[in-house]
This record gives sequence, C-alpha cells and structure tokens, in this order.
Amino acid sequence: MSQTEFISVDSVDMSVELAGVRLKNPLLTASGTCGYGLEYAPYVDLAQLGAFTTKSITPEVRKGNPPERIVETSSGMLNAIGLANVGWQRFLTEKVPQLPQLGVPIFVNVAGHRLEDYLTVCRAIDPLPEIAGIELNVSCPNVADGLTFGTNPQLLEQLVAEVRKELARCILIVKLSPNVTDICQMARAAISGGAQVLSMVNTFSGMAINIKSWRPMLANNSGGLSGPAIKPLAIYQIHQVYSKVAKAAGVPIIGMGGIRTWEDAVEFALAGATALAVGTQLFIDPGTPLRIVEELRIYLAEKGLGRFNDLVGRLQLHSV
Amino acid sequence: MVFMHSKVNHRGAKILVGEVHHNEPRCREHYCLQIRCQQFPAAEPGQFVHLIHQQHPLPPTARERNHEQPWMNGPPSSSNELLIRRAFSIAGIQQLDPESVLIDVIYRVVGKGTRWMASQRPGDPINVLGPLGNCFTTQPRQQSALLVAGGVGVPPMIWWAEELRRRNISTVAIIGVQRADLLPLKLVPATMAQWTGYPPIFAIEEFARSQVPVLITTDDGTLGTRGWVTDALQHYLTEQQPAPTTTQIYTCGPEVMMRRVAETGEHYHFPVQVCMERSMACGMGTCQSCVVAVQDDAALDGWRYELCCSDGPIFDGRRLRWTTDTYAH
Ligand SMILES: Cc1cc2nc3c(=O)[nH]c(=O)nc-3n(C[C@H](O)[C@H](O)[C@H](O)COP(=O)(O)OP(=O)(O)OC[C@H]3O[C@@H](n4cnc5c(N)ncnc54)[C@H](O)[C@@H]3O)c2cc1C
Ligand SMILES: Cc1cc2nc3c(=O)[nH]c(=O)nc-3n(C[C@H](O)[C@H](O)[C@H](O)COP(=O)(O)O)c2cc1C
Ligand code: FES
Repeated sequence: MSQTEFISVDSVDMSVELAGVRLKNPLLTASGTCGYGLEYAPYVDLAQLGAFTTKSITPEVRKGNPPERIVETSSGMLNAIGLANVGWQRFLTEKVPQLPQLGVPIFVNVAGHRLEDYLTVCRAIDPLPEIAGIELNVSCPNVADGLTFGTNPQLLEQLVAEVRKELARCILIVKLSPNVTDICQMARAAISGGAQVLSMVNTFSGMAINIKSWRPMLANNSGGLSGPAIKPLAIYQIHQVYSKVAKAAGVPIIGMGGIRTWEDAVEFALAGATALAVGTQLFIDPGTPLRIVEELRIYLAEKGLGRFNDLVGRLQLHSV
Repeated sequence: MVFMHSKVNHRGAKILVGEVHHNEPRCREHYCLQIRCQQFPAAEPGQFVHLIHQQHPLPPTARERNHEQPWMNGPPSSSNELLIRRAFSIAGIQQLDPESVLIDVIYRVVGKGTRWMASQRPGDPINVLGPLGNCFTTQPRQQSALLVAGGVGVPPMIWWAEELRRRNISTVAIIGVQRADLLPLKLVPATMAQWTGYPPIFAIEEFARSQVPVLITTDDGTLGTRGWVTDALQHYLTEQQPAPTTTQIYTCGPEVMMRRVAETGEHYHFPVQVCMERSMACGMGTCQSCVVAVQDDAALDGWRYELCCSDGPIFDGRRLRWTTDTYAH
C-alpha cells in the first residue's frame, strides 16, 4: 500500500473487462434481486451500472413456491422464490425488447433442471444482440439424478461444456454454488468446461423455524441465505478460488454476497473479485451500486491507485 | 427531509428521508407514528409505505467527502439493525405546514422491526419508500360502503373512511379486536348513533372525523359485542339489507377473517375489496417474494400468482384463491 502522487477522483479508471466485455465500472446487479430490467428505473439511473444481470430464466413458465417465500434472519434473509419466472418465450417477446433502454451490457441468468433446459434457453438467447453474456445458475437439482449441478464436478463440467458449444457470441459466466466442501474443485470443473467468468457466491442453504408452530418459516421449508450474514463466507470462497484457481487461469470473478457499502466492495476486490454484484441490498436501496462506484473512486484516489483493477487481488496475507 | 433519489416512477413512489414527528403508544401493543417529510408524492387510501432506519449518513457528494478522513471508518453498523424494510398501510396524510407533510402509521409491536420503530423519538431520521401499491376504489353508482377490519387491519380504513366521506358515500365500519385493550383507536362518547339496532354503535375519534359509526366486536366481550367481526357483518347485512348494487365491502385484517368476509360478501352478492398482507423484501415488484394466488382462466390450471406489493395490496375478493394454510404470522 503505497501513498503515491495525487490522483484526482475523476481520473480514476473504474472500467473492467469480463472475457472481452468492457464494463464502465465494476458494479452489477445480482440475479433475482433486480427483476428483468426496468423495475428499478423509476428509482435510479440504471445506465450508470457496470452491467445488469436478469433473474433466472427457465424454459417453462414457473409459478415458483407458495408464500411465505422470504424471512429475515440475523443480518440476512432466507428466500425460496422457486425460480418463479415468465419462461424464455415470454422473456424474449416481453422483456428483451426493453433491455436496450438500460444502456449497459446485459447478462441473462439461465437455470434448469436438466441439460436440455439450459441448452434450450441458451440457444434462444445467444443470437440476441441485446445480450452480452449468459450466467449459468447451477444451484438447481438435476431431475435425472437429484444431484445439484453445481455440487458435482463431473456434472458441472459436462453442463458447462455442452452450453459453451452452443454459444457463438455470448460470453459464458458460471455462477458457482457455495454449498460444497471444496469450492476450488467446482471452479476448476467450471473452467475446464469452458467458463470464461466465474460468479460467486449464490445463496447458502438455510432454514428458520417458527417456535410457536414448530414449522419452518418458509413454505418451502428451506431456502437460500443472502445478505451481510454471508459476506465473510463469500469473501473466503472468493479468496480461495482466486488464489488457487482463477488467477492462474486468467478467469475473472464477479464477487457477491452481502455487499452493502463501498467498504464491502473493497474487501471483495482485495480478495480477487474483478467485478462486484449487489443483491439483497437493492431491496432496501436500488441506488446502492451507483453510490458504491462513486465512493470507490474516492478511496482509490486516496490510495493513489489510478485504476480499479489495481486493487483486484491485492490482499496481503499474514505469514502463518 | 432530503431526497436520496429524486426520480419518480409511474405511480410516483420515491425513496426519501423523513423524520419522526410523533411516536406514542395508542393501546397496549399499538403505536401511532407520524413521519414528517418535506413533501410526499400523491397517494391514495390503501397504499403503503416501506420503512427502515436511515442506514447511511445522508450521502454527501463525492467532492464534499474527498480528503476527509472520518468516512474511512465506514458508516456505523450494529447487530440489531434491520436488514429489509417493513410495510405499513398509510393511515392518513396531512399537510402540516407549507414545508411539511405528515404521514400517519399505526403499528402493532410484534417483532424486531416494530420494536425498533417503538424506540424512535421525535427528530430521529427514518427512511421511507412510498407510496407503494394500488388503492381502494369506488364505483360510479356507489352510495354506501362497509369497512370490515380486524386488529392491525384498521389503519388503512381510517384514511379510506375520510376519503369516502369526501366522496359522499355513507359508510359504516365494523371493527374486531381480541380484547378491549388491543383497540388501536380512541373511543369518544357515542353521540351519533344513527342506527339503534344491535350491536351497539361506538363513536371512535378517528372515524368520527369522517362521521362513520363503528360497530365493535371483541373475542372476549370486553368491548362491544362478543364474537367475530364476520358475525357482526352477517348480522348487519341481514338486518340493514344494504343494496348490493350500490354498496361495496372493504376488508383488511387477518387472512382467515378476510376470507370469511369475502365469502359472506359473495354470498350476498356484494363486491369485496380485500387488502392483503405478505412478507415483502423489496416492495418494488422485483423480488417476487410477496405472491398472492388469483384465479386466471387463461392459465392451464386456472390460477396464477400476482404480487401483493405492486398488483395489490388491494384485490377483488372474487379473484382471490384462498389457501387453507393461511398466513402463519
Ligand atoms: C401492505 C402491508 C401493510 C401493512 N400494514 C400494517 C399496519 O398498518 N400496521 C401494522 O402494525 N402492520 C402492518 N403490516 C404488517 C407489518 O409489515 C408487520 O407486522 C411487520 O413487518 C413486522 O415486522 P417485525 O420485524 O416487527 O416482526 P417480525 O415478525 O420479527 O418480522 C420478521 C419478518 O417478517 C415480515 N413480517 C412479519 N409479519 C408480517 C406481516 N404481518 N406482514 C408482512 N410482513 C411480515 C417482516 O417484514 C420481517 O421481514 C402490513 C404489512 C403489509 C404487507
Ligand atoms: C430474493 C432473491 C432471489 C434470488 N434469485 C436468484 C436467481 O433467480 N438466480 C440466481 O442465480 N441467484 C439468485 N439469487 C442470489 C443472488 O443473485 C446472490 O447471489 C445472493 O443473494 C448473494 O448476494 P447478496 O447477499 O448481495 O444478496 C437470489 C437472491 C435473493 C435474495
Ligand atoms: S415485495 Fe418484492 S416483489 Fe413484492
């Protein structure tokens, strides 16, 4: 950490690159927390984001789980939305035409319960000029064997490889599931399958129980934990994947999990995240990513860093 | 009050920072909160606000912050902070003076969020997202209205009663609470009993303003008639025989109660507008957490989910698909 010559806040270069897609700044929205595109437009100037990630799209229209679908827990929230979405056909006809209004690169998150599900949606999305990339949500169980794609390295590598073959223009982002013993193994599998960017972390599996009724708080019984509660877990997984796998492979990481402030963003960047996504905090204030960009700029200038990229992976471990 | 984001949406909702003007207990578990804002977008009865503590010091511009050190330590955080906002019906809005608007919220202390609210003192900042959701409506030929509310379902009815009065619709409220000490309203000596039937009519300050008489039921008979609000409704409909073609029923409260009201209304051919409640993360239509099942003839299995925060919270009772496993809270 060197204090160098004066760098003006305006001159700090916030741009980053994800597998050839240039973002004017590193702040994204996290899938499932920002709708299909224009939902937050009344509240914030979405054109100032680095990029936008849609909620998960599946081949079929999905109603999702019955309510209650969310519950607040200590410094976090559990959700079991159940991949509720309009299905790719309505996504194409109703949502895609609105996307250019955002004025930023768009990543479409794709989910499924069998290989064919992913392929159907990816084939349909890849040719669309409005879309810059596909993010695979692999935290779904495979109907064939009940295994979650993202928790089995063979299944994951095969899925990623099959999808990659279909893509002619979209970049391929793989969103890792954190519910595994060895996240590096999954990162390696995704990269050998052809992942160009890793995004992490998705939500951690969890449960909350109503002590009056002795029933789970969520109608789905369990759900995914997000928010500040998972931030240290996310940072540790990103640190591991960056230092052991992604850095050497030259694969950038989109980091997320409890980011609320610019200080959180700095931690994620130091751990190795090239880009940063805000999820749960958008529910409280959709303007959060834009504020973080501005505050990061000031931090970088004060640290004498001319580019956001200069911060990525700069963590200095204690010698133990 | 300062705007964090001044962009207005099609319904006019904004995120803004107000301050607590008044926050006092109303009965054993209910508080009345008044939030003072410099201005508030046009709102209608039935709409709600989504509240949370003011997380950041008001964001100064990047320029103002540059080269100051204290912010390097970050905003204060505490472990009993709320994570997501809490939804409350607007119980009234008034212009306090040319510079400020008062938003009334009546809330029952049930958990962490409402305990935090009860601890707020005049002058404390509070972050307000709103107004959100749709609103109660009247029909062109409508002459009368019945407001049927239980417990914390009362607040939106106070403001709606005022508006109904303005629209010259003759209105009666039927309010049910568990016990007398859980009535979040002020009783005044009954001076305006236009109807001398059974059950007895009360004058409640909040409704007397709008000249709306109130029938009260309590589960234990400590005030008004012992029994359920739905029994009182049934009684009223059969005794008074209002005309279904010119009367609408509006209901808000526990889901089981609202279901009975909707079914009673349907039985006697009255339209019923139901104010639903769901746990909400965003309130802005993005997170899909607040779903309510409604009939949809176009869907293969005859139903679909709509969002309580943006399609609701007011739903046509005939469209709702009630589930037996009603809302657990
Ligand atoms: C449109 C709408 C209008 C409402 N109007 C009022 C009102 O005027 N007065 C009033 O007292 N209450 C009202 N509620 C209910 C109020 O939002 C909850 O009582 C409150 O969120 C409880 O928060 P808590 O942290 O104290 O309770 P906890 O039980 O600790 O809350 C934990 C979580 O559950 C959610 N939650 C718990 N109960 C409810 C509930 N009944 N409805 C929605 N979310 C819930 C909270 O948002 C929070 O995320 C309304 C709810 C909705 C959706
Ligand atoms: C309500 C909700 C819905 C989500 N839906 C999706 C989804 O559809 N697909 C997906 O890949 N991730 C989904 N996520 C996970 C987020 O994109 C993100 O990975 C996670 O919430 C961690 O970030 P956060 O702590 O900032 O929210 C969802 C999260 C929440 C809270
Ligand atoms: S609360 Fe998020 S969609 Fe309704």
